[in-house]
Amino acid sequence: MFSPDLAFGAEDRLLPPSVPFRFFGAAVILHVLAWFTLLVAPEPLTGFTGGGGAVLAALHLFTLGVLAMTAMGAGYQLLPMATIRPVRSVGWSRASFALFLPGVVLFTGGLEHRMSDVMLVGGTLASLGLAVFAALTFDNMRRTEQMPLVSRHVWGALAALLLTVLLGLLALFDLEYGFLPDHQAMAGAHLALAVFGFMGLLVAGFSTILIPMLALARAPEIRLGTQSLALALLALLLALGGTLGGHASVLALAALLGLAGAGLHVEMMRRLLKTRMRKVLGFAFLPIRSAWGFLLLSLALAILLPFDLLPGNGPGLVVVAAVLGWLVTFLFGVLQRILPFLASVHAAGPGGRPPLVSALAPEAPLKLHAAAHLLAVLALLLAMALSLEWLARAAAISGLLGALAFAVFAGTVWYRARACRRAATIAVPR
Amino acid sequence: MMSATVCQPLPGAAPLSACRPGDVWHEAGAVHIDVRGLLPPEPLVRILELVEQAQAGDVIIVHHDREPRLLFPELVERGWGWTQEPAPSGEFRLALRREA
Repeated sequence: MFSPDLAFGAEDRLLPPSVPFRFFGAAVILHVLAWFTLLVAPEPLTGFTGGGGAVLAALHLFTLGVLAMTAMGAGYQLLPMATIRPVRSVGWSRASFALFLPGVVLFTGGLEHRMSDVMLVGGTLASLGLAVFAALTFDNMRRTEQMPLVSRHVWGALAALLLTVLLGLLALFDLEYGFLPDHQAMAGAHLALAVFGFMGLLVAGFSTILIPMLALARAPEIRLGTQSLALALLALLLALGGTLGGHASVLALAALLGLAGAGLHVEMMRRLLKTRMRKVLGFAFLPIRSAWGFLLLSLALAILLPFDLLPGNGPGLVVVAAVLGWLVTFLFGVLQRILPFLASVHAAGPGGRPPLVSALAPEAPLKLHAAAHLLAVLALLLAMALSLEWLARAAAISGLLGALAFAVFAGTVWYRARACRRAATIAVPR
Repeated sequence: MMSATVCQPLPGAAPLSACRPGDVWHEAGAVHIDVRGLLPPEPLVRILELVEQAQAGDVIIVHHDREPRLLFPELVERGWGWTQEPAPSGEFRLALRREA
C-alpha cells in the first residue's frame, strides 16, 4: 500500500497532530479547572451577576480556556478541509497556542485573586493569541469561494471576535483606570458578542461540516443556513446597541431574532440528519441534540431577561443555559467523536492502516461524562432559578466529575493512539 | 499504464455525456466514482454510499483531487482496504477492495 506521504499531486491539508491536539488537551484540562474553580468559589454562585472573583474566573475558564481553546484547535484542523487550502504557517499556529494558554491561565488567575496587573498581562497575551488565530483564519479564508456557508459564518465570527476582544480589553483596563461610564453594560456587550457572536457563529459554521461528517449526511441547505446567519447577525447588532444603550425592548427584540435564527439552524440540522447514511448515530449525538435544545432555551430566557421576568438569578440562568448548556455540551459531544477519529487518522504509521476508531475510544468514561455534565447543567439552572446555593455546589461537583471522566477518555485515546503509532513504526522495516 | 478516464454509464442507467462530480461508471471490471470538485463532506459520503452498496469482489476506483485521509478510518471500520493507483497530475486515485 502506498504511504500517505507519497501522494501524487495531493497536498496533505491535515496539520501535524501535535498542533490541534495541544489545543484539545489544554481545553480538557482547563475544563476540569473551571468546574473546580466554581466548586470552591468563596462567593455565592447563585447570587453572581458580575464583578471579579472566582465565579468570573470560572466563566472565563469555560469561555476562553475550553470553548475558544477548542475552537482554535478545531479551526486549524477544519478550515483547510473547508477551503481546500492548508494553514499558511504551522509555526504561527503553534505560536498562537504559546500566547493563548499562558494568557488564559494568568488572566483567570488574576481575575480569581483580583490581581489587576496579572489580569492585564494575561488578557493581553490571550488577546494576542486570538489575534494570531484570527490572522491565520483570515488568510486561509480570503480568496476562497469554497463552502460559502462555512465562510460566511467564519467571517461573522471573526468580526465578532474583534469586537469581543476590543470590548474585553476596554472592560479590563476600566477595572484598573475606571474610565467607562457603564462598566456593566460593556461587560454585558462583551459577553453577548463572545457567546453568541464569536463562539456561536463559529460553532454554527463548523456544524455545517462536522454534523454531516459525523452522521455521513448530505451538505446542509445553503438557503436555510444563510437566513439563519442573517438573523443571527442582525440580532447581534441589536444586542450590542441594546446593551450599550440600556434599551430593554431592543434587547428583547435581539433575543427574539436570535431565537428565530437559531430555530432555522436547528431545522437545517434536523433536515440534513434525515439524509444520513449512519443510521445509528451513537452516544455523541445525545449531547449534541441536548445542546441544540439549550441554545433555544437560552435565547427564550434572554427574551424575558430585559423585563426582569425570570425567577431567581436571571442573568445567571441565561449564561448557564448558553455557555454550559449549549456551547460546552455541544463541544464535548463533537470532541468525543473527532478526538478518536483524528487520533486514528494520525496513528497510522508509514504505509500503514489506521486503527479502528472504536478501539481507541473507551465508552464508560463518555457515558459518565454525559450523565454528570447534563445533570450539572440542569441542577445549576434550577439552582439559579430557585436561589439554592447548596444545589449550585452539588451541580459543580457533578460537573467536575463529568470533566474528570472526559479527561480519562481523552487520555485513553491519546495513549492508545500513541501505542498504535509506535507499533506501526516498529513494524516497518528500515 | 494509466487508464484513461472514460465515463460510461452503469448498465440500465441514463447515458452520460461527460464526467461530472459524483459520476459513477463501470470500466475495466471496476466501479469508478469521480468526486473531484465535490465539497466536503460529499466525497466521503458518496464514496461510502458506494462501498455500502458494493457486491462481493467489487473493486471501487476513486478519482479524487486530494488524499482522503478522513476516509481511511471509515474504510477500516467497514473492513475495506485501499491502494493508491497511478494517476495524472492533479488527481489522487485509490482502488478500494473489501478485505478477506
